[in-house]
Amino acid sequence: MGTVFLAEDERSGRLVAVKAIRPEFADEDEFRARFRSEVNRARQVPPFCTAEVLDADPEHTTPYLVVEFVDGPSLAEVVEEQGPLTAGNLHSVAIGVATALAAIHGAGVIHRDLKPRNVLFSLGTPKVIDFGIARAFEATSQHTRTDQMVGTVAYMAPERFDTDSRGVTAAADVFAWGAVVAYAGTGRTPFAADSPAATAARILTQPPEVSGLPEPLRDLVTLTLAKEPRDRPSAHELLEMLLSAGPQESLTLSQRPELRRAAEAAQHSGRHPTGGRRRGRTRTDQAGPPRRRLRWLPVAGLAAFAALALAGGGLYAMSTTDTEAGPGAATPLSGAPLSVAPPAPRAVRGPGIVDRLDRPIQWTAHTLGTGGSCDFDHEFVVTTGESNEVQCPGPTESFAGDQSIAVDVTVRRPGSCALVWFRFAGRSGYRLSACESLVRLDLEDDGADTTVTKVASGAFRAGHRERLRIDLRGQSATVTIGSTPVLQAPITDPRLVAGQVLLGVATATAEGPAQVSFAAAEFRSL
Amino acid sequence: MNRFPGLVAALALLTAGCSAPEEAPSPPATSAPVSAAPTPTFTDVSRGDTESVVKLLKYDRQALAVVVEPTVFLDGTAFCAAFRIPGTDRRCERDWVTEDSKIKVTLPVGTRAKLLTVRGGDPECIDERTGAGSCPWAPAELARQTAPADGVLIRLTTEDGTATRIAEVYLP
Repeated sequence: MGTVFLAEDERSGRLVAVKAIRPEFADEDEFRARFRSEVNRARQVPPFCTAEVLDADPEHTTPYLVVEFVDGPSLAEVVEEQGPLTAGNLHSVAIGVATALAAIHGAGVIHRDLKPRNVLFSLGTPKVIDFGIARAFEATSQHTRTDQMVGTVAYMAPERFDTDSRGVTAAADVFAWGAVVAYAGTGRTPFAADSPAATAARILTQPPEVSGLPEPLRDLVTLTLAKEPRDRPSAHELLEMLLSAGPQESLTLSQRPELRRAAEAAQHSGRHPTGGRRRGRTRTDQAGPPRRRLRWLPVAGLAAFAALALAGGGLYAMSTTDTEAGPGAATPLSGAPLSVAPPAPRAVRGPGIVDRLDRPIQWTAHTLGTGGSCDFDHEFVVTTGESNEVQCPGPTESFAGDQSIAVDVTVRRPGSCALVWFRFAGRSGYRLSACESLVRLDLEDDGADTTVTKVASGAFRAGHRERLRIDLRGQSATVTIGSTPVLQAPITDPRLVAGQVLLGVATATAEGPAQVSFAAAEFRSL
Repeated sequence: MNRFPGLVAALALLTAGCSAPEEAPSPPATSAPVSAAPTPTFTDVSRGDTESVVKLLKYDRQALAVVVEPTVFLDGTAFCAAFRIPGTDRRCERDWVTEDSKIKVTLPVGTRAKLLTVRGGDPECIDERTGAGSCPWAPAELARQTAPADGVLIRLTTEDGTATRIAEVYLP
């Protein structure tokens, strides 16, 4: 792929790995476009047992990617030097890598090159690296010869040997998980043979050899190594099965609270099938607010690096330090006054936000050069200024699954619409517009909108404060104003299953700046 | 070594009992799962008058605001009894265990709110009844200590949803 540098962020002193792309790739527009697309997705992957993607510049003369530096050996190195993992470490790897896949797939990314060398140990906890960039190399046909196939044969799913492997889905990563865990537990891959060609033949025709694995992990690994992608569990299903598999898994989680927290968070990070068919999205409703938006989104970036030229293989120092279960170790808890998730063994508890919105702390005040602002005046007041739409920064928690969003809304100036985005990630999500004469739900995809549904409503007349509530249950959103349900709509886009809740304002028909205010926000996982 | 035996237990019972006294955990006694043990709850600090141990995630002295995360804070034995965890679990042997709600609640801080620290475990700064801090905590120091994302365990007193007392919890 290129050269890997160990570098230091001058501002934070944090060590990072900079992956610079080889010049011959850099000259291809197709590669750059694909690299740009994949990197943007990879940056949305939450850092749950994954090496966080910190920055990238696909437009640079030498396109590069900046990722978290994981100071530890790879799974391949550990097994080569110490032999197969013992039960506790094996289950830690099984859960950790499944957690990583759930997070990666939850962000709409397919790893495509999961193998023991891409699983590193950071203080004993496995972290998956190099996700989401393999596709950029695969798709450039002149670089995809048999001997340069992205992915190591022993970990490749049967469908990847098809002539047209562009249809490869996240199930291929799940297959690779099975092969990686089998290798970790036995020291050999489940279809091992004398040559890559013979290995491929065994993958295509023979059952896996997993006899050295302990039960019930063996059954799970066998399930993930199914020939047919549709017979394999999704990463989230796999993680759920692992978390409820048996006493060894429970022991592993109780001894590694950080792993448990990551697994829980990954379960909540999104559950959409990666590689599914995307709905075409075009704006079909032109009656709403004009679409010139100014956003205050966090400016990612590591400004400068003092590159220490280290070639890739020497980047990761050996370390096998294990972590001791800390006091934060947790088990499920019964919910009660705060409407937390109900008690259940190893239940996943999602985030919640409660804020009166009368002072800055979770939300902050901002002023734009164009006159737009997000500010506090006993309430959270949002004004468009010269821009037609403003989205205010706020808590960055990602909500997934069922949730409720409740907030008091006041349309302060006629012709203004209060906006509430949910399941918003990157530049896509659902957007509810609460305007003077209508309530509308749009699906927003990187600036292109599709109206899901809308209903006439005079509830948000100027100067009148109303409680707006959005309940997301399963694949349905119900909007209630006060105590009256006014709208119910499907929320079925497979990519939009998790994301932030954001507040903002848009101009509908107003002359001059639009202005709304919000108060008493309560966002809860259900 | 725990220089204040019983303080954590006292805090834990106080915490679990503030918002729902009828649901305070039973005194721990057995290493076996206790099927009848009451289940603790997270205190809703945003309403009414409450007293509970929470995780202080952020303190803004200019805005007079805090962000806290309600938690359940128990000694290990009580924790295992409350959540029906087998006594062989290593958490049962700990001096204290927390369960986090993952809910971030913004609260206003009263202008006359008391900020109290244990000053690194100084016995003179620990209230023996509650196990929480009793020495003045400078606002700047409090803001600095809450800068990390992990937060600081505090005993929080609220009146009508406003923080009136923030006392650092002594952790043996």
